[in-house]
Order: sequence, then structure tokens, then C-alpha cells
Amino acid sequence: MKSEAIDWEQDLPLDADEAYQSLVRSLRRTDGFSLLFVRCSPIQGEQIITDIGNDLKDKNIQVLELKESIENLYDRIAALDDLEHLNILFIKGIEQSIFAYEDREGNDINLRSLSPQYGGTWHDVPRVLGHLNLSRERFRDNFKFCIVFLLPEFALRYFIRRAPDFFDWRSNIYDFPTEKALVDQESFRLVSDGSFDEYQQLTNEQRIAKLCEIKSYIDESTDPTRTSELWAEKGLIHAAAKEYEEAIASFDRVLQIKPDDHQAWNNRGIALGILGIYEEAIASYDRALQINPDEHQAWYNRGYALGNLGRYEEAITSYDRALQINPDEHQAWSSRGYALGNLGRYEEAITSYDRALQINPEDHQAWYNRGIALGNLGRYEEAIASYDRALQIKPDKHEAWNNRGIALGNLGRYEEAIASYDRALQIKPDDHKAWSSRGYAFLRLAKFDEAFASFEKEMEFNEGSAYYDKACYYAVQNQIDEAITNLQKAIEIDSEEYLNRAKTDSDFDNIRHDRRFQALIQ
Amino acid sequence: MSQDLLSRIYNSFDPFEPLPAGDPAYVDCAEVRGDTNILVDLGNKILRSQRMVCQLYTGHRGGGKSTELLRLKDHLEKNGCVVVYFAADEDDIDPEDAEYTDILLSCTRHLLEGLKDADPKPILGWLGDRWNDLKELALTEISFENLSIEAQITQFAKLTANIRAIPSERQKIRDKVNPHTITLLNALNEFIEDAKRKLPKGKTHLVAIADNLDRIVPIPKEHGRTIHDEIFLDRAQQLQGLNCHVIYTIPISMVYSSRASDLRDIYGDPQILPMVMVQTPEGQTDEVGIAKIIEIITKRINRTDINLVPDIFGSMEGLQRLCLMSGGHVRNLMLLVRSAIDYIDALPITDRAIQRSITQARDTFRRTVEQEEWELLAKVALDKQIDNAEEYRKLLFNRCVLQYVYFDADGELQPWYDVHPLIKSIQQFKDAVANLSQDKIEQQ
Repeated sequence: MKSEAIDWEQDLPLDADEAYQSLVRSLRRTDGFSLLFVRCSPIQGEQIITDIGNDLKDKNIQVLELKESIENLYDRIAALDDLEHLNILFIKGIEQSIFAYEDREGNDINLRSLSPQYGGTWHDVPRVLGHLNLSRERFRDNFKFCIVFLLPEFALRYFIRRAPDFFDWRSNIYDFPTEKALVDQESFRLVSDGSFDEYQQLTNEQRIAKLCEIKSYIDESTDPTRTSELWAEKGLIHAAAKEYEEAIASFDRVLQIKPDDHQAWNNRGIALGILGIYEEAIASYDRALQINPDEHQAWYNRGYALGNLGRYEEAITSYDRALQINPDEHQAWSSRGYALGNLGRYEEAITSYDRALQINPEDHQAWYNRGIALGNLGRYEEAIASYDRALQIKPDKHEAWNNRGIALGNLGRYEEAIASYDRALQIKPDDHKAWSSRGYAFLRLAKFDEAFASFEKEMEFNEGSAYYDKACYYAVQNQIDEAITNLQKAIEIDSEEYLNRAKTDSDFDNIRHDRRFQALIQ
Repeated sequence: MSQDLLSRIYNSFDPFEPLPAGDPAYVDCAEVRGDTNILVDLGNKILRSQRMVCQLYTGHRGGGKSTELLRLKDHLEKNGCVVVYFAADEDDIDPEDAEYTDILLSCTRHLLEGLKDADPKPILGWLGDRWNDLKELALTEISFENLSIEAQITQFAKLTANIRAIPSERQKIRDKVNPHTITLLNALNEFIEDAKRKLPKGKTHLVAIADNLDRIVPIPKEHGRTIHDEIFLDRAQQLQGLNCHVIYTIPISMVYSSRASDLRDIYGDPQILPMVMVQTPEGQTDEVGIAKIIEIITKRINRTDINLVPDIFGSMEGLQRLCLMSGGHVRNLMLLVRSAIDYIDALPITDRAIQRSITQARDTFRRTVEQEEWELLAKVALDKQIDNAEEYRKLLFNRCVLQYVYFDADGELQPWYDVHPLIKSIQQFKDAVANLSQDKIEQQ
């Protein structure tokens, strides 16, 4: 097997799908105790739990949802039923205990982060984490299953800093990236009249100099209005350097002086949202909107946070408010379409994307998402046209090339589909799904050698799926022995996944009557 | 290659079990850890000493301390010692604000449980005297005298557990106990004396090893001190007051406090377990160190019928890179191998999977380092030394800075420090190094 040369200086981050696959592998392979940390939004967390349930049917799974603050996680787990048969325990909501801790520190419920707590500073330890840190042996000795923490960014940082010994026993962190960062940065830009852009350009030294300068002004200032302006500026400088905890603390200082500063509430919400503290972010936007209901940006941001929590109906209502005030906000139309699509309301989603694209025809994400919605409705020609527009603007969007190939395949236009997969693979050579789809396109064209070569390539990146595809490859050619051998190998790697697929896959119709096949899928 | 083999390898790289003494997976790394040998350094001091010795042991979290201490325990037991080893846990130490009292109670509890032949009367007598005070704190209604000896011993364990369990009562219980720590220490020593009189045939020494005390999270106290200072310095006399040989593990950051010299005066030189040197101070790969790390991997995999390269690892380059990026830190190594396996469907572990694993580990450091610390890290990387200042202690505590040792030309043991190799490719770090080098040029 040949692998391409690696530039060791260059990071190789995973996309959400790859993160999910690695999580599945870890859960499948672990025998007994392990600690896994998954950084994701609450809605991604829900999805992960559902998907794992489907993909690992032979595992016994429980979910412990913590709705309020707790001090002792061990006892909560020990009290669960049927622990001796448990394989995987998902834990959601551990951040609730950190919120409660910050409340205690901050006193004022509305200004929770007054002391610079978010992200875990070195002043104190939330009791739940202190306890975990000391009781890791007890977890290991008494819990013979995988414990999977689903948590937002800020809670993960808390674990790293305040429960280092417990965290040190992890098997891995699974980072589920969102495409949100771009939009969130955008939001700061919109509220700051250009200064945010300027702050982003600062070098590290300039930044520190600027922060020191502001700090000295704050110390000298006797005028509260001036002081609050300085805090607001400091907050934006921190936000530009992605120091969101510090940014929140600064915005809180503004709000201490001017509780009616809707801009500060809005900015605070954005920073909270980036850290994945969506409920708090929404509360912050609500405050901004109480003071100034015409702030369409806050309505938009609020919708975005709701969407991240999977509360799509509410998100749509919030986008609608933003669009009542400013119908030209293409981001809001686009995000509204995304929320509608998630609810399966594809026609409405398409209408919403159309509005976004009328205003800004350069929004490739909207073109791409519109293509997906059209594809879901079986309107493949239109879907292809939509992907084409996305690719005109952003030719390296490999997902769009990939989806375009699938749409072409659905229309039986396999040669074009193959060309599209080739483009996707030029950009992302390890995309096993593209290799697989490409192989099938050749298979449909009865170009067996090329199909085989494609599945062979897939083998480098995903063995299970490649064996399965090869089994199909042999089955359609009536080569029963090889088909069975390959299917067997696939099932050995992931019995759940491939048994289920084989049961209904029409590629096996040729060999379905065969007794060995029957025995295999029993 | 079968999935079973992959799963077996995956599970053998677990980050949470210290190796028991004599485990075949153990690799003696003394030559790349500056010839530190716990059996000689800590063990012989105990075996040769006429009087009781109290020693400190430290090293980076996950660097192999517990594995070494278990070896020491075994060695001492084979040489005429009775050893009570305990890893202090959440029943012993308060997660929010540990105090010296916790450690004393913890030692008492574990010695009581570990030395069954000795007469517990002195300790139980002490508890009986406190009983009326403590009963009020809703510990129990029963009268102490009516309990059996076993039940009385259990009550002692309960006392320490209750300090933890009921936060509101915690301070009240401590207030009742704190004035009596001296008498408890005396009672404990009486108990130890009795235990020593009753040592089994062939045993001449009694040793207590208190592991895990480095688990106490450093909490800042007034006047720039931390909870560690309060326990290990202010209470040093009591900590040394036990009538048997004692080894305490302490946080590595303690050794570099502003009162490090006090610490040395009191306890003598603490024994530090340095990292396996995988790089020289000049930044060259240290072949001997890398070979040791590869040996650790080989022994964990424990299969003579398969080649490490290319069957398990796709390339030698990738394997060496992985070893280098561990920083010579054993648990980091376990973690890197484990997560690399997460990124493959079948063996071998490709370079790509290794780089993904490195990326993920690097992200954790990115999340760990705080904004103002990049400059400090750059300084350490250039100077290979650290100052005795609080901010550096924090970097040692969270393993951003690792300690190594080597022998210089005169055969002198030289400790040196470096930034964790995973940090060196992070952009903020590179920027900070560039800034610092620029400053240096301007100064010249």
C-alpha cells in the first residue's frame, strides 16, 4: 500500500464525517473502560447518539442527560440500571454543573461571567471536576464501559485545565467542526463599524500594546460612558484574537455600567455562541432585543443559535423577524432555508435560498444547499445546475463535486458523474465515499477494470466499505465465490453496517438465492 | 490483518493502568532518563538508613511515576520491608480545598487498613475521645464504645469520607479535628511502633508510599502562595513526623516554587523522574531515546511474528515522528498511538493517521496555553532553562514544558527543559519565537 508523502509541519484536521468514523472505530474496538471526549453542538450530539445507535447495534448504549448541576458524577453513573451489560454511556449536560459554579462565583445571574471564569481560569475548581480528577481510579476499576462526554468548547477547556488527571486518561478527543466560525466572525464585523477588521490585522505585539493602552485608560477614566466604551473596545480586540472568554468578561463590564447597551448584549451573545454556550447566547440576544427589538442582526444571531440547538421552528421564527426588519439580509434567507431543509420542508427551503441568491448571487453555500434540497426532491437536473453555480464561485468545494456526481448518477449520466468524482478526488484524494461512488458509476457502465481500480483505491481509506463494494462488483458479474469472500471480509469488519445493507441491496439479486449468501446474512 | 489484532493492539495502549512490577511490557529507560533508578535512589536510602527517612518523589503527570513506585514497592518487599502503598483518592483528598489534615487522616486510614496485625487501640482511643464532638455533626447516633473493633475501624474511614461527602459539614468537622492533629499523629506513631514490633519474620523495615498527592489541583492562596505550599512546606514537620519510612509524591511544580530551596532544606533533594530524552538540547533527534520509545511500543504490541514496520506502522519515518512527538512522555505516547489507530480501518498505521493523531494532540495544547504564555514558552525553547517563578510552574504542571536530563562532558548530571515538541509547530508559538529572536538581535 502506498501512502502519499506527509508534510509533518502541516496539520491534518478532520471533517465532521471523519471525526464520526473515528469515534465509531474507537467504540467498536474498545474492550472495557475508556474515556472519550466529543466536542460538538447539542444538535450534533443528538445526531451522534442516534447514528451510533444505528451503526453499532450490538452495543448496549445508555444516555445520561444531566439537566441540572451535580457535584458527583460517579454516584450518578453508579445509580444507573443494568451497568453490567453496558458498553457505551453518553453523558450530556456536564456543562450545567460548570454554569452553576460560575453562578456561585459571579453572584448576579445576568452577569454570570463577571469573574473571568469561562474557559476555566486558575482561581478555583468546579466541584464536579475536582471530584472527577481525584476519582479516576474508581471509574476505571468499577466501570467497564466507554464513557463518552458530549460537550461544548468551553466545557472541554475546563476539563483540560481543571481536571487534568482525569482528562489525561482519555482515549481521544473527537472534534466535530461546524461551518459556523465564518459566520460568527462576520457577525462581529457587522456590529463594530469596521474596527473589528482592523483589530484582526493587529500583530500579537500590537495587540498587547493596544490592550495595555486601553487598560491604562480604563484605570484613569472617571467618566462611566467613556469607561464602558473602552471595555467594549477591549471586548472586540479579544474577540478578534479569538479570546472569547476574555471578550465575554469585557462585555460584562460594559453591561455593569450600562445594562441597556444592546450592542454589548449582542456581542456577548456572539462570543457565547462561538464557545458553544447556546442557551446563554440566546438569553443574551433576548436582552438585546428587549431593549431594541429592531436590531435585525440580533434576531438573526438568535436564530442561528437556536438552529445549533436543533430548535429549527423557533429559529425560523427568529429569522422571519430579522427579515421583517431587513428583507435584504441574504444570510438570514440562506440560514432560514437551511433550517427549513432540516425540517424536511424542501420546497420552502428552495424558495428561501432563491431569495438569498437574488440578493447575493455569490453565496456558494446557498447554491450548494439549494442543490441538496432539490436533490432530496428528486429534481436532479436543477440540483446539478445549482451545484454548477456553487462550483463556478468556489471550484474547490469537493462536497459539491461529489454531490453533483451523485445527482448525475441518479440520472444515469455515469460518464459525467465520473468526471465530477474525479474533480472531487483531485481536491480530496482520501475521500473514500467518492472512490466508492466512482467505482459504482464504472460498474453501471460495465467498465469492470476501472470499477475495480476505483474500489482498490478505496481500500486504502476504508477497508470495510471497499470489501463490500467489491462484493457487489463480483455479484453483478455473477462471480459468486469472490462475492461471498469479499462480503465476508466486510462483515468481519462491521457486521451491523454491511449485513443490513446486503439484505436489501439489489446488486446482490444475482446471488441472493445462493445458500452461502443466505447463510451469511442470517 | 484481522480486526481482532487491531483491537488488541488498541486496547494494549491504554493510558490508565500503571504496569505492575515485573510486567513484561516494562522497559528500563534509566540510560535515557539520566540514570535515574528508583530502586537505587529511593530504595537504597531506605534500606541503608539507620533512622526514618521521608522522601519526595515527583515527575510529570503520566510520565511513569506510579509504574516506578510499584517497582520500588516490589523491590523493598523483597529486601525485608513491609510496604503500605496507597494511591490517595477522592475519599482522602478534598477536590476543592485539600488540607494537611486530609493527608494525615488518609495516611491513618490506609495504615489502619494495611497493617492488620498491629493494635489499633491508640488510634481508636483518639477517635473515641473526639466522638462526642463528632456525633453532634450527625455522623452517627451510636455510642462508640459499643462498637466492635472492626466497626470502630470502619468508623474511622467514615469520618474521612464524611469530610468529603457533606460539604456544609466539612469545615465543621475539620474545625473539630484540626486542633487534635498532633495527638492523632502521636496515636498513629504508637500504632506504627506496635506494627514494627509485630513485623513478620525476615522483615525489618516499615515503609509507607503515598502516591497521587500530586493530584491536588493548585489553587492560589494569599500572598502568591498555593495550596501546595501550605501543605508541603508549612506542614513539613508533621509530614516528616511519622515513625516509619515515607515517600510522598508531590506535584512537579513544587520543586520549582520560590521556596524550592526551603523544600530541599527540609526533605533533601526530591527525586525527579525526567522524560525520556528524544531530542538533545541542540534540537537533534536522540537516537538512543527514540530507540527506547520504539522498544516500549514493541513490548506493548508483544508479537514476534509481525514486523513493526511495515506491518504495524506504514513507514519508519512515521513511527519515528510519532516517537519524537511524544516528547519522551509515556502516556502521551500511548495517547498518540491510540488515536492514530482511530484513523485507520486496518493495519498498518499510515503516516496520514499519525499526522492526524499529532494534529489532534496539538489542538489540545492550543486549548491549554493561555494567550500570555506563548512568550514564556518561546523563552524556554531558546534558553532550555526555566526560572523559579509561578508562571513557569504552571507550564510544568500542564506539561507544556518538560524536564529532561543528560550527562555533560564532565559526567555531571544536567537537567534541562524544553517546550513540548507538539507545541513547536503551533503558529502562535512560532510567532512568539520570531518576536523574541528579533528582540535579541536588536539588543545586540
